[in-house]
Amino acid sequence: MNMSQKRALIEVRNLDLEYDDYKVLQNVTFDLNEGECLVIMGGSGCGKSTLLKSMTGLLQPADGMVKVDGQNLWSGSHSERKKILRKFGVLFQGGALWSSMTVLENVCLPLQIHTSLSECDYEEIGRYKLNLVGLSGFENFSPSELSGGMRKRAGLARAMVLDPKVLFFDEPSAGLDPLNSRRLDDLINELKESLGITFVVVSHELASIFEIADDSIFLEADSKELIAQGIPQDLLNDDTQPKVQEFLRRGP
Amino acid sequence: MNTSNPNGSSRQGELSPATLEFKREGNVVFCELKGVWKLEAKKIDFGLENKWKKLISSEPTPEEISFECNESLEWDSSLIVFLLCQKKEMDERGISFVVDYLPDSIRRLLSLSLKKSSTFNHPNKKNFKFLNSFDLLVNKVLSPLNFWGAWIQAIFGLLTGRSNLRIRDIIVACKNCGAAALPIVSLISFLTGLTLAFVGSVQLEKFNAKIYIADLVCLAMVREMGALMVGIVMAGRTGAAFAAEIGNMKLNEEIDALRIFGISPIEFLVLPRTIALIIMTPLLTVYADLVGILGGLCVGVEVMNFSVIHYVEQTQAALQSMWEIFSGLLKSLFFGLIIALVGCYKGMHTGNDSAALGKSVTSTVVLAVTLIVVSDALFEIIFSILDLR
Repeated sequence: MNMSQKRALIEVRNLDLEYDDYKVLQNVTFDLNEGECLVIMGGSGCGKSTLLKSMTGLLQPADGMVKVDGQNLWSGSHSERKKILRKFGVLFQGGALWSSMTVLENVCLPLQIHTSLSECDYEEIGRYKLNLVGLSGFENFSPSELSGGMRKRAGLARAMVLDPKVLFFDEPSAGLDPLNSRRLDDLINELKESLGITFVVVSHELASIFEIADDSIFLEADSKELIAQGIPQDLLNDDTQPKVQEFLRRGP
Repeated sequence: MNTSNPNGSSRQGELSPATLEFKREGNVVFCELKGVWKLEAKKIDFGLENKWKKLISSEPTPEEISFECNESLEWDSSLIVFLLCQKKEMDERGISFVVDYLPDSIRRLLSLSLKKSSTFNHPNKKNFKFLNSFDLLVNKVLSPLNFWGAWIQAIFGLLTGRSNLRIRDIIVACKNCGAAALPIVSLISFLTGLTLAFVGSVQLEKFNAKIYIADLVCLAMVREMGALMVGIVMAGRTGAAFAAEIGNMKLNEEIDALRIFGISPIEFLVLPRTIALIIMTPLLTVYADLVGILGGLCVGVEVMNFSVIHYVEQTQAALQSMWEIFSGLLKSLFFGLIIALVGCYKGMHTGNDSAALGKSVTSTVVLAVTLIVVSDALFEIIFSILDLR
């Protein structure tokens, strides 16, 4: 790929994140190019999910900015932020399906709220998205009747339903068996290539990181900073920081 | 992990206790581990402990204590823990801890547990300071106000047609908090009317004015007890359910998922529930009034031998104006609002674990019942000041 063709879709600049005066991350700066898959890595407790939260509009950063398509996510009004968030889809760790609705209703609700399609049309789209993740036939199940992996896939179908430009995954392979986790990786690569969706994935599943990542950032819990950035394979070969090497090689 | 030994092992039930044997050579102490160092074996006897204490505090202090044991010693974690404890004590006294003569497996375990794990500092609890506690107090007041404000905003959005509210959600909520509550409301209000009649009858009999029992039961139910009883039942039943439902959704990140899709949780979760409760509480109160009067009628007819028609006519005469009924309904409307707002607020502000969920359900019931009783008293005071009674 030619460098000049890449366009930064999300720019994060000097981001400081804290919970009630407790600093989680500081001075995080990176770019996310359109159509690429960025993996956020790091040991547990280093603030990966927190960073994801602030990028998806759920946690206001203490300082710094997140720019999406040139628009600042946190400086605008509530309705402007909503408009930016329309470009996003998020898959939460446990799927976070709305438990009072069936799987199909879950997938269709965003359509129902945000579009003026007829019921027939949006159910058609919902079925199509469920089919895409291999869940056709489960439309009328309630989330509690699904297994963990199926819930995750249903969550993915819901995250994709508004055809987002960016999909955020919070630990997609946590709790999945190796085969399903592999299928999810394939699905990510497939969607990236066919639909040009940009991905941000929080993960510490090494196999999956090497499989899907076009770019990665490495967060570190002690300094609370971003300490490495690049393609995971390059980091493995070239980076000299012991923490990065330990992580990528599963040990010293 | 365990080096087993067919010879040294004693029979089940009488494991030989763990012992140490010391041998001092100048400044070096050799310490041989003997017996069975297992959790199920007897603890080290106290005599040994005293001997050990004497050894490490003896003059001149030994420079080095070296542990050794037979390859075939039986041991488990208890030995490692013992050694780690001794090491700590020896480090304090500056005695060096030598394990070179111990089997490999023990040394490996020791070095593994001596490795420093990276320490994670928990955020320090803030010191108690006046300004901090003031801050906390302001937060405690502001956060419900914020919630209330957002709710009012959502109501305005609804009135001006800019809302994503789905009628279906309201209907489902109405069914859950209204129709489904009929049995319990029936029982409670029937018994309330019954009790009022029994209590009143004793007093009225003294004045030979037994028929006024109909007035007493009717007015008490309509003005006061109907709304109050429905309020308390709904606080325990529906308010708690709201807090649990919404709190659980928050734990599951379902609220975050709503926000991501640009759906306001206030509009989508709180509004249907509050509207349903505001509609259903007055309706339930009307029903409770009727059932309560029926309870009084049962006592009047069965115990005091009035005819049904007589009792009903007396009841009718007692209700001089519709205001008697409306005042009760007005109260119940407010009670419904209080219950719904408290339940939803507590649900939305649940902490991040299941214990916090239980806590917020409990505090919903406590707070809602308290607010209901307080506001009921306020209503009565205002009514009497305004000469509405």
